[in-house]
Amino acid sequence: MTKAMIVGVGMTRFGRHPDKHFTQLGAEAIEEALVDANMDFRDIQQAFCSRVYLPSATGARVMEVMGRTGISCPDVEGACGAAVVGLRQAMIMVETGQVDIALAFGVEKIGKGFMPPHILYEDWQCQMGMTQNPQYWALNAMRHMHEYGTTELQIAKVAAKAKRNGALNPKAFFQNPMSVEQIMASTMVTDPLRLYMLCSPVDGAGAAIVCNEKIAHRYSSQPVELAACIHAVSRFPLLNASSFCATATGNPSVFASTSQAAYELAGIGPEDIDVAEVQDNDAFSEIEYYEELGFCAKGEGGRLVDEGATEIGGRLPVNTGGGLQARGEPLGASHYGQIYELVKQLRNQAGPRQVANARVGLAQVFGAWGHCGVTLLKRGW
Amino acid sequence: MVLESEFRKHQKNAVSGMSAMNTAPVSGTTTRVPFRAGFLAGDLSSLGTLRLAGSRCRDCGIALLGERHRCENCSSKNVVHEAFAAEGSVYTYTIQRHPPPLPNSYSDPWSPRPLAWIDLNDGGPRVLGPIACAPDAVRIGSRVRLVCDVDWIDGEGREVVAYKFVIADPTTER
Repeated sequence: MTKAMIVGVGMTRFGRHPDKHFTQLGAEAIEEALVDANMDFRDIQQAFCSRVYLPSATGARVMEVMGRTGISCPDVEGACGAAVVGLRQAMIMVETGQVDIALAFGVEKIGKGFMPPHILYEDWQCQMGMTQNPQYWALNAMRHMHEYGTTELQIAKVAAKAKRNGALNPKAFFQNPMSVEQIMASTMVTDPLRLYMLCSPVDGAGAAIVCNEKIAHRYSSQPVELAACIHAVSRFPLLNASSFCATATGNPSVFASTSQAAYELAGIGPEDIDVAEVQDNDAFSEIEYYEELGFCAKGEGGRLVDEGATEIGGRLPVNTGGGLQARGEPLGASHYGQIYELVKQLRNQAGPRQVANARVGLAQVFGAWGHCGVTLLKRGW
Repeated sequence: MVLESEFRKHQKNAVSGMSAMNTAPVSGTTTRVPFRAGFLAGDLSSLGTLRLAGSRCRDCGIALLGERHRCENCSSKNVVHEAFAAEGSVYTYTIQRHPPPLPNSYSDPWSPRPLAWIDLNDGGPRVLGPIACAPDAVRIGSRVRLVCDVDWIDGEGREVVAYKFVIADPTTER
């Protein structure tokens, strides 16, 4: 099996794009990735389009504007984890020699406000008040605070970090820094989570071009190795969005199991990660993922925040691109926003957000009903 | 424990006994249905008898809300259906402070609503459910009790029976 390298990345600014057709958003991200890889679209042999709210055959519709070159381009879906599913398929096709160059991209156009619930929830869940996703994160936060003494202030610090990093990212939706005090003064949405601790669903697109390592040098002097790309649906129980029954079993969480599988495949451990992007749907979930991904012991996530370990300049900077909280979350494209940030970091192209000497990056994504993905990237040059 | 076939029988009884109820009739009668088939056990016409229904795996021992043909935890087919205890305790909770936009549902007038993961007694499942109480009345560890009621009318004009919890004991443990 050959290695798969990322030789080009692109993304639109995540945010509100009321005047752009979704195919235009997809094309914009793909065009940037093509320029980044110094590649022609006609070199692409396979594509995968990730989306959640957009219509059937979104990928084929993007081909309509990019050129119908006759390649395969199915839509792949996995709730907010949709993009990792496409990236993984692209990686597998390249690794197994089916194709030399595959395009993995995602696009979402959802508009302002709450996500329409019926795509993810049954009517009875809607009727019973179970369809507002922040509730699930809040339930976990409340229990974590009870068990480990995690504080609202620590959660607010994570939110402030996201806003600070987002202010340095021209591709982020939310580009205003915000103080811990401002965040703590924002309206309580679902205890203990306040308005500015939550991410926003937004429009946007992202793309990555995956290439056989043997020809990667033709397209990039800094190819980034896809060292692992794992996707799984959570074992029981799923104590998160969409779940209604979660009897304790002792099973590892899907975050722990997917990251463990990725670490084993790449032959590294969490101590080797230089920079990470995690699914901060809300500021608390980021703390939970520090623990689940092995960045610290269970219950120590709040302490990691207090130490500043996950700030740019800290021991393990997390969500340097602003995370979902500041970059925004275009569901089907979200993971590509993470990949974009990591590739820029590993290539030393992250500007004011640059993490010194970043060589290994981790991106973790999570979606309703238990879709979870972990991608590990390494400098490939 | 009431299985699907018995449910239908109960529903027929419910229909015959409900002609006086003031709800939108369909074909001259009103039908009651559980919020999801296989998730409530008992007589739908006698709301106080209802319990949450589900399955227990004979292989891994896990209790699951809803009657299943396989275990969600271990995929075993060796599952039995049972009705769970009506009492439980709060594993964790949150208070939703603002009404969501339609088509999400909320009470009118709005009041902040507690939502909790409840561990049902006697080895029952951990289930998600609303708690009908003041926002400051719930704590982790609060004892709660199941209440079933007709909570909405579905698109076919049927009364839908769903569940919520109430605080069972004002003394709570943190």
